[in-house]
Amino acid sequence: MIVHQVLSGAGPYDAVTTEALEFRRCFTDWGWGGSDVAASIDPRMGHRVGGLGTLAPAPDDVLLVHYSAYAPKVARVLQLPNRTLLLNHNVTPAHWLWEHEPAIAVQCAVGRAQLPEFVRASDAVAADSAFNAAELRSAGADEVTVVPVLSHPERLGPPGPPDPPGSPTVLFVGRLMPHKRQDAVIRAFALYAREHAPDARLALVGEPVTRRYGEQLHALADAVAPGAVTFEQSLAAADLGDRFRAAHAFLCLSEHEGFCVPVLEALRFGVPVIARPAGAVPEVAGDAALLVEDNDLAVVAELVALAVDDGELRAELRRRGAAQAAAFTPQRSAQALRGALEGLLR
Amino acid sequence: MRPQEALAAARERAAAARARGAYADDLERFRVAPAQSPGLEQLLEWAVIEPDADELRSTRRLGAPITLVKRTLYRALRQYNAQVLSQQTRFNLVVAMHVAQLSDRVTRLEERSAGPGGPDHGPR
Repeated sequence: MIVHQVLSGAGPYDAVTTEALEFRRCFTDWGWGGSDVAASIDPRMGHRVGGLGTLAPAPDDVLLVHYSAYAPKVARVLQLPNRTLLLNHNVTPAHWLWEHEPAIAVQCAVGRAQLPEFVRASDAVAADSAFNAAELRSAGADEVTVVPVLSHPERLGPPGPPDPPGSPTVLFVGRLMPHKRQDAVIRAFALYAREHAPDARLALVGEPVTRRYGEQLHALADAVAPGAVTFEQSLAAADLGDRFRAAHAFLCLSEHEGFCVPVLEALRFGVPVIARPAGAVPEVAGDAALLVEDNDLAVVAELVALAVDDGELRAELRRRGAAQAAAFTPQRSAQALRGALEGLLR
Repeated sequence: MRPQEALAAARERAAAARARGAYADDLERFRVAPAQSPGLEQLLEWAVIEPDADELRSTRRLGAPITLVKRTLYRALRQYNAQVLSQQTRFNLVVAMHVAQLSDRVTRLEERSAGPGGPDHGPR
């Protein structure tokens, strides 16, 4: 089989691109060919992904369209006569972005509005979570295959000790974007540090959506938790693994997630997870995380304190985290993906 | 403690801490909030295009020279860019003001329609 993957954008630290490259490795293992193309490409990608203009499928080739934002040229791909599988990674609601990044907000607004059109034009649809599958059904899809995000746990190395040495460290991994609510993470961490652990550290890993947005978060951190917050981006897999191994708790206050791979990675590393039950987070975390809807960040700070200090709670969360993470094997995802693609040819 | 007991315990501990004066710090400052339905005032603010030249940069590993070239080009084209921005801003503002006028007219018509003598209250 020849499968061409079409992305709206490709970047070196973008979750959708990372997964598309994992898919390509699977295709190669299965003896399948094809190409990976994107409408816009971060220069740091090198030649790993080609421009959309290079897409030249033969009539029998299959197209796998990764849907994560609107890109005007991607819609034209659906006019090709090829069999097409649409994989919905979820488009962030624009209302989180209008204020901070209007260009991306426009892409998201149009992307969400055009999802029904993409669904109609595709031969089959898939989503990487039940949450995203529900959005596809709302957009008119009848049958949706769930293909959980394909990520290899060994990519980041083995888990660390159950109780890492050093001062309490709270971690969040995710692009610095408004809906990820790093501002709330910083504020909750500051409350935790003031009330429970003055020597605590917060590690935020992720690229800022804009330089200005990153500066606003830095300024907030300097004001409410001076010297205690580190911002890092573009980490190699080994370094990211080190951050998980050094963490005592993983705090995710994101308001919208189509999957949230970092939550799954935290579970794999045995790091207690405190998270908002937003989007797909509850199905990814299962009963292995402390889910909190409270807007009162003092409650979040107290949960962080419990997750860091209560040995019995940590041990139980670690046990449940390992069981939950085991359900998301790359083999299961690969099998679901293969079934969805082969189903196109039946 | 079991995970299912943690949230209730955290709420109790937060309430108890507040009762003894903890968590009283003002942590307001930069706070993200969704722009659910931008009002006219926000629309007018956004209508005036003000791109941030600091965002003009290269994301390549050794992108400093490219950033320099881009910013030099931006400065060299400032006069032309100012024309483009002013024309687009003029269009945006006129559209936004038309929307405001239409919104006012709709409001007035709705009030007239609902008030005494309006279609809902007149003789049948």
